[in-house]
Amino acid sequence: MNTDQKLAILADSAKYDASCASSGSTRRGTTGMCSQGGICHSWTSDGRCVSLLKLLFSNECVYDCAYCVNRRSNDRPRSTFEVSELVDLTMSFYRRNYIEGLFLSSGVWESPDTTMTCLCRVAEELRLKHSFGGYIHLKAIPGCDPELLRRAGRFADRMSINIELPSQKSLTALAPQKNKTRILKPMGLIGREICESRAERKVLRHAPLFAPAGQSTQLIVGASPETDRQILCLSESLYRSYDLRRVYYSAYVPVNDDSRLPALREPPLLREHRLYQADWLLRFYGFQAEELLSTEQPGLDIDLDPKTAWALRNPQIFPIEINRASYESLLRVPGIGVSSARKILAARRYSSLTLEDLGKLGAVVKRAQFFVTAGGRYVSSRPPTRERLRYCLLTGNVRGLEGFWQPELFPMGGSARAAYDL
Amino acid sequence: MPLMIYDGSLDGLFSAFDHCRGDTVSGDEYTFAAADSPEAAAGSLFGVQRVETDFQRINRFIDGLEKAGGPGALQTLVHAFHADLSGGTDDLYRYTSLTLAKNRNIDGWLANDTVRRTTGMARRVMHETHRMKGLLRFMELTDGTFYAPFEPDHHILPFLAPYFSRRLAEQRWVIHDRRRHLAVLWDGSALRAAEVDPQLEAGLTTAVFSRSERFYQDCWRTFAREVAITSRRNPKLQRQCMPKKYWKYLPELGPVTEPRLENAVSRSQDTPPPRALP
Repeated sequence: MNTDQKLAILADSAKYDASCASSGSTRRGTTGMCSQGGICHSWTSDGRCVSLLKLLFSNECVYDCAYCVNRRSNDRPRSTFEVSELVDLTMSFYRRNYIEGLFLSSGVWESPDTTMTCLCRVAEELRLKHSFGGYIHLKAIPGCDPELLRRAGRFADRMSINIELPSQKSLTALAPQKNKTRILKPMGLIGREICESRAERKVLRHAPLFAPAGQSTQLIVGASPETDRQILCLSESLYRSYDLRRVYYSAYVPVNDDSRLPALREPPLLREHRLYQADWLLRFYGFQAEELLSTEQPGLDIDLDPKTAWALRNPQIFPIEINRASYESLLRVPGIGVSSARKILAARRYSSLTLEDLGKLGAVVKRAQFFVTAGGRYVSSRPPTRERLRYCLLTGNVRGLEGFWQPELFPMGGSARAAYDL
Repeated sequence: MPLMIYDGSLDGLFSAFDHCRGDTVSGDEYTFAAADSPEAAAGSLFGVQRVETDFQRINRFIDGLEKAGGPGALQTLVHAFHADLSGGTDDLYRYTSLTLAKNRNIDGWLANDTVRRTTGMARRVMHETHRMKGLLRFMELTDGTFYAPFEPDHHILPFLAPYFSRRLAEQRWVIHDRRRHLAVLWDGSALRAAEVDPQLEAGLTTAVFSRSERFYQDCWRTFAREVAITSRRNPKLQRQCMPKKYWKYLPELGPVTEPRLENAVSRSQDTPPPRALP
């Protein structure tokens, strides 16, 4: 089999791993360097960005996970790279500026130790023989020798190990050869090594790097019956306990005919999108998982983004005065993101802001206008009810706010009251 | 509104700004034009003045601007200049006057239209630079040089060249802006800029590619095709993230062969240059 044929098989086998980032490292080499923010080099026809050469070292696998296209019981073309072949492809693509670096995973070929050794050899040859300074993301194979993980971390910028299914029960049902402990133990080890390396580098500037871009993981959404709440709580505890950089959510793509899996016609893309929005709220907007979802409401709203849904459930906080609110309060307004909140704080040092100014600063006024006052002025003369507000948000129609007066949703005070003549 | 004519370079513009600073006429009333532009040829009802490029003026201007607005103001100005938008230089002068009048960095004052337009131009340039760092594609020629053609909206070559001199330090490369007929060469130790004769541009054919170049382009096309998940197909999102104007020189979206490069030259002459923000 020639290189092009192997590439076709092993790229096709690797595509369900959602991880795509090339950020978080400032490594330099003789050929190549990493970019702190990461760079996207191309976009595929499914709209996802390509920044790394995403491949499996081998798609032969001894495991038989129900959801995986490479499982042992599937009859499909199998292939394995040579170390030199893969290194040559990576260097040549890098020289042509096609990629930021390499993302290397593998099916479990023979045993976890054999597979992990091959991945380490590829990374070592790139770093030591070719002085490659670009990004390397290596997967950690669950169940391999901890020494191999330590070896991999010295050459990789990011490491990851996929949890795939959000509970031990689902793992037992769909991937009986994997278990929670065999996945979380290496995650813990990598996390500790990263911490130690960071602490050492604070004292000795040239102490060796260990996965400077941190670690991430992936959860499949829609293959198992867990609710959004369970998934979000799991993500929150992973961020807190293992200091992960990212949790990726991958909508389940039905690739195998298996009675243990749901018969979906298409992948649950909207659910995946809502989970990413909720994940951003956890990481950048100061939300807790229990604020967004509860046992009474374990699923994210289909029609509205999680922040807007939360705002409708918490009317006592609104409306917020944009000329006086703190950064944390501004972040809670639907339609105001992290960069808009920063711009508001900068712009109001010069002059008082109006709703029109809010639009100029890049906030989504169509959503934000219902939750803010600008200089005491609100978008409508009457405070809204929850149902009317929900209707206005879904249709973008401000005039829907006027109409039959109901007991007010927002308890208005002081200057805001004066604006309504109430 | 007197028309100030400068030599077209950033140095010339700074000299013109410094010249105007000394004048008692209010800042809003100046317009600027590069020496070889149609605006300069058309002249102005209110008088025309040529400004010589003077390094003493430039240094005085830069010192004054940095003292008032910090290095951020200078960076915004330099980036906004490279947006290469007709009518943009008048906004740059107003931005400079405002910074000097307020004696602080005014980049945060987005409620002001001049500041918003100027920082908008600077952001466009920085955004396109970042995009091209990912979308520029090199092709290996028979003599081992790596050649990368592109047609950016803004004049971002001065920002890309130092970046690639650090990233691809060990190989000889040429980056060629086919819209402005400018190129930058790196020979492993120093950067050199050059103007390219438009007649020569049509002469590039696949005959100059090295033998392995074809192989790696085919591999890249295979990879880009196989790594897409067909049940998540979303060409609209693909075009949103990667506008079609950049597709010409991307091997994964079609072979970069002789007919496409020739079409690229004739098409680039038809596309009008971008205009200033409203």
